[in-house]
Amino acid sequence: MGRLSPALARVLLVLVLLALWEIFTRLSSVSVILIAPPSAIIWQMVQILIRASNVPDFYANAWLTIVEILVAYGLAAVFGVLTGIAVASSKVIGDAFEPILLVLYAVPKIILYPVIVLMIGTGPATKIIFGIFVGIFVIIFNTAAGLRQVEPNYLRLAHSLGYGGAKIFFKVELPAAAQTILAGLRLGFGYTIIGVLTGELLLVNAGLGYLIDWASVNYYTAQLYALIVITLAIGVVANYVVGHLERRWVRG
Amino acid sequence: MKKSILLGMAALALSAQSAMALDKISYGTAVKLSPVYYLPVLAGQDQGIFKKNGLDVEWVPANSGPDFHRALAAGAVQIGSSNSATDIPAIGRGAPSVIVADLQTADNFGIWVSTKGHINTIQDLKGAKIGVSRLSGAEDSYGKLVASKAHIEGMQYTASGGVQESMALLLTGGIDGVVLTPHQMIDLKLQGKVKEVAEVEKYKPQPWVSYTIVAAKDFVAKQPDVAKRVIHSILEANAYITSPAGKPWALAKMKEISHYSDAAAPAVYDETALSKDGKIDRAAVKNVVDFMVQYNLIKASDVQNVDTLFTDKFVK
Amino acid sequence: MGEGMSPRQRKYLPLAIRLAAIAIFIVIWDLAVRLGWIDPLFLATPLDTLEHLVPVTEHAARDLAVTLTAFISAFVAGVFVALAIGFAINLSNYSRKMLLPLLALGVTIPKVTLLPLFILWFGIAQMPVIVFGALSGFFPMVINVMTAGGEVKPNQLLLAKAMGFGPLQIFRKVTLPAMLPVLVSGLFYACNASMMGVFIVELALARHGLGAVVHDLAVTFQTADMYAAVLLTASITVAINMALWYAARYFGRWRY
Repeated sequence: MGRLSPALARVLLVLVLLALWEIFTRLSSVSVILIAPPSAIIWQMVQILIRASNVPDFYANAWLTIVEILVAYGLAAVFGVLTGIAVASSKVIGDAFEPILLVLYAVPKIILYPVIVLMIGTGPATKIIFGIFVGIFVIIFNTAAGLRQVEPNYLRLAHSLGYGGAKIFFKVELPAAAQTILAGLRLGFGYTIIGVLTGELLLVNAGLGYLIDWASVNYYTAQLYALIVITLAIGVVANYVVGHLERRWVRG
Repeated sequence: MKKSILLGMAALALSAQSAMALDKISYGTAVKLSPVYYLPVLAGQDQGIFKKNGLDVEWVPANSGPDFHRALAAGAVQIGSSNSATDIPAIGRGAPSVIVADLQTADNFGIWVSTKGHINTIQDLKGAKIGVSRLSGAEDSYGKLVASKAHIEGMQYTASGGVQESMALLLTGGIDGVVLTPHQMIDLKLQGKVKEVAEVEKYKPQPWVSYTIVAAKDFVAKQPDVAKRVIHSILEANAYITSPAGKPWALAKMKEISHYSDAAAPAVYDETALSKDGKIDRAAVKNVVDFMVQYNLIKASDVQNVDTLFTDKFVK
Repeated sequence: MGEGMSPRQRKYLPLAIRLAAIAIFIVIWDLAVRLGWIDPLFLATPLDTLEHLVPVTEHAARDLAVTLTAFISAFVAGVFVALAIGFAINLSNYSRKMLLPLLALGVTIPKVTLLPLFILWFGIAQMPVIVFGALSGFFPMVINVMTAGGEVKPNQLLLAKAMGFGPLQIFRKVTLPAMLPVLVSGLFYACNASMMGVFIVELALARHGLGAVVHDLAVTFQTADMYAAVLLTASITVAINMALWYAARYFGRWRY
C-alpha cells in the first residue's frame, strides 16, 4: 500500500470516480439538461481549450477572471495580514475592533451587492471588491490568532537577549505565527475565488462566471461542467503558485 | 360480530376516502413574483378550483426559466407556468418538457428610461446603452427588434443583472434604458422615477405566444387525465381573475405579494390578459421560433420540427 | 497609547473606541441615504431599518424558525460527517496526504451552479437546503480535522504508550487535547460557512426561510423591510459566531 505515492493514488481515485459517474450517467434516465457523462465533459474541455467549442470568447473571459482573482487576493492578503497584525499587537485596538470584524464577517455580503454595483458600476472593480469582502476575514482572523498564540516564553527570551521591538516581531513572532497565517492565506484564497465568481454570476457580463451562467441558461450541460472543472483547475494551479511564492517569501 | 361490522365500516369509509383523495401536484412557475405567474395558481388554491377538480396543488416557484425546466426534468414539479422564450430553447436542447396550453398571448416588455435622463421619445434611443438581464437573452433580442423596426441606430446592449442591479444602473446613469416589464416597473413609474419610451409588443410579429403552461413529457404520457384537470383548473382560474367578480381578489393578492400600491395594482391588472381557453396557435409558436432563430437565440437546427414543442390535445 | 490613564479608563477604552467607530459608521450610513449618495431604493436609513425590525421579525417568524432549523441541521450534520471522515483519514498518514488536496478543492467549487443537481437528488423541500449548508460547512471542517491530526506530536504518543496507557486513554489524554484548539477553530469557520450556505440556497430557491424573505423583499423594492430582515439574519449569525469565536480563543491556541 505504501508503494503508490499519494499523488498517484489521488489520480487513481479520481479516475475510479469518473468511471463510476460515466456508467451511472449512461445507464440512468436522468435528463441531459441535468447531467452529462464525464466523457462528454472532457471532450468539451478539450474543445474549449482549442477554441473549437461554442463557448464565447473563452480565453478573454478566463483571463479577466484570473486577473480579478489575483488583484482581489493580493489586496485581501496585504490588508488582511496588516489588519490582523494591528488587531493582535495592540490589546486596545484588538478588543475594540474584533467584535466589529466579527459582525462584518457574519453579515450575508451577497445582499450588499446591488449597493456595491450602485457605487462602483458593472466592471471588474465590483467583482474584485466583492471578492475581497468575502476572502479578507479569514486572513485577518488567522493572522491575529497566529500572532496571539506565540509562546510568551519566546518573547521573554528575545527581550532578555536584548532584541528590540521590530526585531522581535520579524524574527520571533512572525515566523512562529507563520504556519497559521499561511493557513489563513490559503483558505482566504479559496474564499476570494468564490467571492469573485459569485460577483460574476450575479452580474453576468464577463468572466468565467458569465460563461458558466451562459452554459447553464442555454442548457449546454457538458459545457457547464467543463467550465466548472476548468475553474477548479485554475483555482488549484493559482493556489499552488501563490502558495509557492508565499513559502519563499516567509522563509526568506 | 360487532367488531367485524365496525371493521367493515371502517374499511368502507377508508376506501370512500381514498376515492375522494386528491391528486397531489407540484405546480411550478418560471418566475415567482410576477402576477401572470402567481395569480392563476393562487386563485386555483384560494377559490377551491383545484379541489373541485380533484387536485391538491402546491406552488413551487423557480427563479428562472432554466431552473423551472430543470425542476420539471428532476421531477420536482410536474407542470407549471413558463414563457415561450425559455421553453423553446429548453425543449430544443433536450429538456423533457412540452407546451400544453397558452397562458397569455401578450407580454408587455418595454424599454424604460430614467425620468432624470435625456431620453424622452423613442427616437432619443439612438446610440443609447440599454441594459438587459443577460446578453443574448429574450430582452436583448426585444431591444434589437425595436431598434430594427423603429429604425433606431447605434443602440448598444449590456448585461445589467437582475431588477435590483438594473435599476441601480439606470438611476446612476450607468445605462440609459432597460428592457423590462411594467409589473416590475409600475411603482417606480408611479413615483415618477421611470417612464416607458417603447413598447415591444407593437413590433412583434403576430400571432405570438408569450406565457405558456408547460408539463413534463412523461407526466403528460402517464397521467393525461390529471394533466388535463390541472390545465383546465388554471384556465378556469384565469377566467375568474379576469372577471369582475375576481378583480377585487386579484388586486388584493397583488398588493399582498408584490407590495403594489393602491394605484399600481389596478394598472398592472389592466395589463394582464390571461387566456381563458388556452388555445395554442401553431403559427404563433412558429413565429416565436423564427424570431429566436433570426436573433441568434437558437440555431435553426435546435428546433427542426415545431410540432415537437407543443401538444394541443388538452385545449382543443 | 493608554499610558498615563487610570486602570479604569484603560478598561473602558476599547469599548469607547468601538462605540465611536460604530457611531461614525451609522452617521455615514444615514448621510449616504439622506444626501442622496445612494438612492433610497437600495439603502434604507438606519432609523428606518430599526423601525421595521420588529414588524419584519413578527411577519417572518415562521421563516426564521425554518432557517434556524435548517442551519442547525446543516451545521451539526456537516461537522459530524467531517469529524467522522476526518478522524478516519487521520488514522493513516498516507490517506491524509492523499486526500487533503482533494478535499481542499471542495471550498473552491461554485456549489451554487450545481443547485439543479441538489434538487434532482434531494427534492425541493428542505433537504437540498440542509445538504448544501452541510457541504458548505463540511469542507472547511474536515480540512481542520485533518490538520488537527498533525498537531499530535509522535513523542507524546510514544511516551503515553510507554507509560502503559490504553488506546482510549491515549485518545482522551493526549490526542484530543492536542487537537481541540484546531477543532474549535474549525467549528467557527464551519458555522459561518453553513449559515451562509443555507442563506444562499434560500435566496436562490426563494421558497422558505430568511433567505426567501430577503429575496422577495429585495425584488419588490421593499427596501426598509429588506434591510431589517438582513439585520435580523446578521444578528443571529453574529450571536452564534461570537459565541464560537470566544470559545475558540478560550481554548488557547488556534490553528488552521
